[in-house]
Amino acid sequence: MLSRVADNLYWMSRYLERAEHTSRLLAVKLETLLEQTPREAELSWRRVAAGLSGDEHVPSAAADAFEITRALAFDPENSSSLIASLQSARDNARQVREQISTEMWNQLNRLYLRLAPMDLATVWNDQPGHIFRDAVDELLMLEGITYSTMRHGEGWYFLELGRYIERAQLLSRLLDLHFGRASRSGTAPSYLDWVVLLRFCTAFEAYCKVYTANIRRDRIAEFLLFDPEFPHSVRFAVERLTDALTRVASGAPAQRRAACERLAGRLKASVDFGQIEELMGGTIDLFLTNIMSQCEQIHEAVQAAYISYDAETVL
Amino acid sequence: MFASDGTVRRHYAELSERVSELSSDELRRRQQACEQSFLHQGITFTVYGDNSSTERIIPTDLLPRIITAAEWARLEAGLKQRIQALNLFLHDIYADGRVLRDGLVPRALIYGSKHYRREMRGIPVPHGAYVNVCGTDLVRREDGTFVVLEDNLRVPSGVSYMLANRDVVRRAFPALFRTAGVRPIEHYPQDLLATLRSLAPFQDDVSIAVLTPGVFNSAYFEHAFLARQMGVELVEGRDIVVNDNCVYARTTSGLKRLDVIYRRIDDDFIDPLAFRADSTLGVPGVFNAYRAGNVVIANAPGTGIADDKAVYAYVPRLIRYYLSEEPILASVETFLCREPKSLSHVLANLDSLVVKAVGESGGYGMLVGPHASTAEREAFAEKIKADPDNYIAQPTIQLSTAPCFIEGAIEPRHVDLRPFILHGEQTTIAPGALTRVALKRGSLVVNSSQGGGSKDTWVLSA
Amino acid sequence: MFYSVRHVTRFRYSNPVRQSVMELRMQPRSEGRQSLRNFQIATMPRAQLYAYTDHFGNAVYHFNVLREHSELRIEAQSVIEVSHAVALPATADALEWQRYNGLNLRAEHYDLLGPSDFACLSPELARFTAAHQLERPEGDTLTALRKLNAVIYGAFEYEVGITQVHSPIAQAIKERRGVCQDFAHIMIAIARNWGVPARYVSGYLYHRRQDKDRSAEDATHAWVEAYLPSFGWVGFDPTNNIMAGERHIRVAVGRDYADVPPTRGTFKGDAESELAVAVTVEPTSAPVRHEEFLRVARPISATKEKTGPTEQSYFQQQQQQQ
Repeated sequence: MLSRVADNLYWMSRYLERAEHTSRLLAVKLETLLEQTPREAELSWRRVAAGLSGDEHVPSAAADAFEITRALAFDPENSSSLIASLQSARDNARQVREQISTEMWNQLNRLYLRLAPMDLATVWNDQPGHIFRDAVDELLMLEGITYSTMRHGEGWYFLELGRYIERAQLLSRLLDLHFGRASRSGTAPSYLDWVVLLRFCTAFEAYCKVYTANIRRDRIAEFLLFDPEFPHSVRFAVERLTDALTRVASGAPAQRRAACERLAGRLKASVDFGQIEELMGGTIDLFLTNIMSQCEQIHEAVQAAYISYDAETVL
Repeated sequence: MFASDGTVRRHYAELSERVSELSSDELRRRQQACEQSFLHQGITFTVYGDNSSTERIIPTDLLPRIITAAEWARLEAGLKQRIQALNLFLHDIYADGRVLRDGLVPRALIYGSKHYRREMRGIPVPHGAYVNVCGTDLVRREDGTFVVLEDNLRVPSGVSYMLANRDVVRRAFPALFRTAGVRPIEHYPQDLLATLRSLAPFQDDVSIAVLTPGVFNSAYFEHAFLARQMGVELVEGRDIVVNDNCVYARTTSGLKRLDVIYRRIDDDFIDPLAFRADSTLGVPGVFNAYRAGNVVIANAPGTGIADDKAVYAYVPRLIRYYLSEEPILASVETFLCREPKSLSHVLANLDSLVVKAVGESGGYGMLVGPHASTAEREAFAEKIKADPDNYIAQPTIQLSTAPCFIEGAIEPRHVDLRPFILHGEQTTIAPGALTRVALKRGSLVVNSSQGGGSKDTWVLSA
Repeated sequence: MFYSVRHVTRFRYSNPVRQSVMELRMQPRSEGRQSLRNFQIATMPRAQLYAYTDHFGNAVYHFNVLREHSELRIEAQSVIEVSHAVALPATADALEWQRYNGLNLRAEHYDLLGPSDFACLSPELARFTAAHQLERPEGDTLTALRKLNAVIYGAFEYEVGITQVHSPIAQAIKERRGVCQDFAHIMIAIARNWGVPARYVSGYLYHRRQDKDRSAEDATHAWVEAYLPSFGWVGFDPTNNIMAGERHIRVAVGRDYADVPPTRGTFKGDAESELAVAVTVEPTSAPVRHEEFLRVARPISATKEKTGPTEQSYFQQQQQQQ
């Protein structure tokens, strides 16, 4: 597979994951708007904004829900907004139009063309959460279409790699905002905040199946970090990205592949052997920061080994 | 559609009947379904504005244009003859130059053209096939015969629209399509692949790629479409590396050798070392690899000389010269202003002629005599006198019309015809074409950039 | 007369570059009075060399270097034998001008009769020809061309650095200064305008103290060949106001400089390149062995892992002839 094509697929997938994450957070946030006190809502909005935009474009505290939603969803200037992510995903898809299935392209293109001209103001007074819930549904459908219409060859594994690296990073950041230093400095998250966090990760039902509806901070952390079977846990994402790494670039020389696989192995070991008691004792900040930086290292190693390598070294 | 006496031409009868059964709302619904299908498939070209870009579809007309088996047989024979002669001509001017020594074509006309590539002299080309993909523009005259307007021999585009139009129109009229006996064109990508493969020096495990300028090119959709349909890589210049005079694509597993490149970028941009130094679309060194026979470039560089507007005037003579045959397809009568007799004729008849600059295309540097003001004609006459070699003139050509579905009604619009010819070890022509439509009433301009659309073209099997 | 020529070219880059691709026109031609006895090229970093003959009959070598490098060095060495030029008469006969009207002659030399990229007509050139009464040739062909050679010599100062490799001739005309490349292009443009087929010659000049040549001793040289129906190609060197003779070593011919640069290449990377050239031409007595015109270097295979940004820019690099 062409290096450029692999790169486009990888980024397309990362942007789609980001778009889905953004849509889900906004949907959940808007749906729970009425259940929170203004103070709770503001803190919660801050976490959402910080979790989505990497601090750069956090709308000021004074901004109301409409402004924040618009910035996070429809501001084309905000490079991590929903619409910007979708546009980037589509631009990448366009460049590899011949590599993805027509069904995938149609689904992505249709979603983009539907959301791009949308005016938030016109839908704001009538359950605005719907548009984001719909976006999540459409993106999940795209995931399903991808699964069942694209060959599960190297390109598909580059999609997997992108999706799960992005997911591991986004989850880690979200968990950091709820369990890390930031969460301890101000008002502690309330019961509702914990439920909302689970719903951010589509994890409420799955959590209840494992732990019953007994909402406890340490159990939520354990579940979202270490559950081996839940798709939106860090551990699950790490397993999938490690697996994807073993399937890409099968023809590449061993020493190139080794660099990536070594890093993935280290990351996998950190989540396989993590102890929730130890983390809740105060090392969770460090742990999450470490996961994020290891994901970044894997990203760089993949770029170096398969995408932007020096041509001389492979002859 | 209609014969001169106003009756429906026989091969349109069934279509006419079928269409008259449908309400105009129903037709409109089907038309919209076609357009939606194009938009969703991303069969669009991009129009760039100041800081935004919009994607537009090339409008497709719902009603197919129909060509009878007899008409097609003649077209096919004529196009095969023409491409054969043009390839022999290209081989000649890049080898011995017999046609130049014999004085049939003036040397100045060839050497003075910016499309003549001296670098191609003496380079052998597989099967002598310089032009591997050709899209000839024709129009139907009042007497029903087809006449060649232009041979597009460089990087002709539009074949994806031929295939996409078929796809949507067949769905709009499924029953009619089944009974009409329309010849299939879906095998075009396989034919193209076979043609490209036949250019490789060996036949096993040939590695082929489509070279595109990139996603911002207006024909990008077509490049991706063809690559996908053929199952070959779509590459950009930056994906390719030349090492030790061989050409490789950068893949995740390392460098992969390429044997045949179907390039969709212009000669000038293929190789910054050999041609335009500022090209960043091309691959430095790829022309040397080509010269050494380590890679095949299709179409060969330098084919543009044979679709030069002045060379066009010589094509009937070239067919007689190389093939000892009479041309099957007529050409438009062309006056070369470089010839004194023609020059005075052109200057005396500017009000009835279309004058074109030789080196330009896409309607630039052109005077449409009947539509120009006296002042415009006088100004243009000065330009012609200053540089007669650079101009040719032709009588205005009356394009035939075909029925089109325009805003709820069926109206005639002017159309041309672009069939696609493949030429490698063998010559193959898919029985179909891109029919371009001038959607504005009375307009003769079919270019998609200037309000043109297209329609499906049905070649009947009997 | 035997000469030994050593031509060293060195590109230095401000940042490491990759994927250098280069074409060289450095092998002296072996034809007419000149025969090539030995020729070798070495590059550093080492690279596999390939060769072809271009449509002017010039030998072109090319190679590429994929891996990162900060310097590229090319060393060409040749041994050439040049025999005495046949002396030309003082004048050509009066009919010589008419012989240009032969249809075949004009067709054969079509490329060398019209303007080309560098040897082109311009208002500056028109003023220059008017000022020196060069609009129409005076006298027979030989006399007119000799006069043209002398006028250009007299009208321009030789000075390196006024014009660059891609400067149009208008620049040299405006400055009244330039180098051999400019003078050759000016002479070619005027001669062609007269209807005389003229071509650009890239090569070397053997400098002796007694000759008082203006051209730089340690650089490549360029001059002009004009076609005279009765004498064939005759070389004029407007830089030094002499006819091309036993001291001129011809390497490549073309319509103008654009056809015959000693080096032409591209690289990938965000860097400025600095070019240095050294040429030495020495008489030699030993005609060395005939075989091994080309020393073929094997590419070194590297295994070191390297990564870097993928810049997509290509840069051209060429040298001016002096």
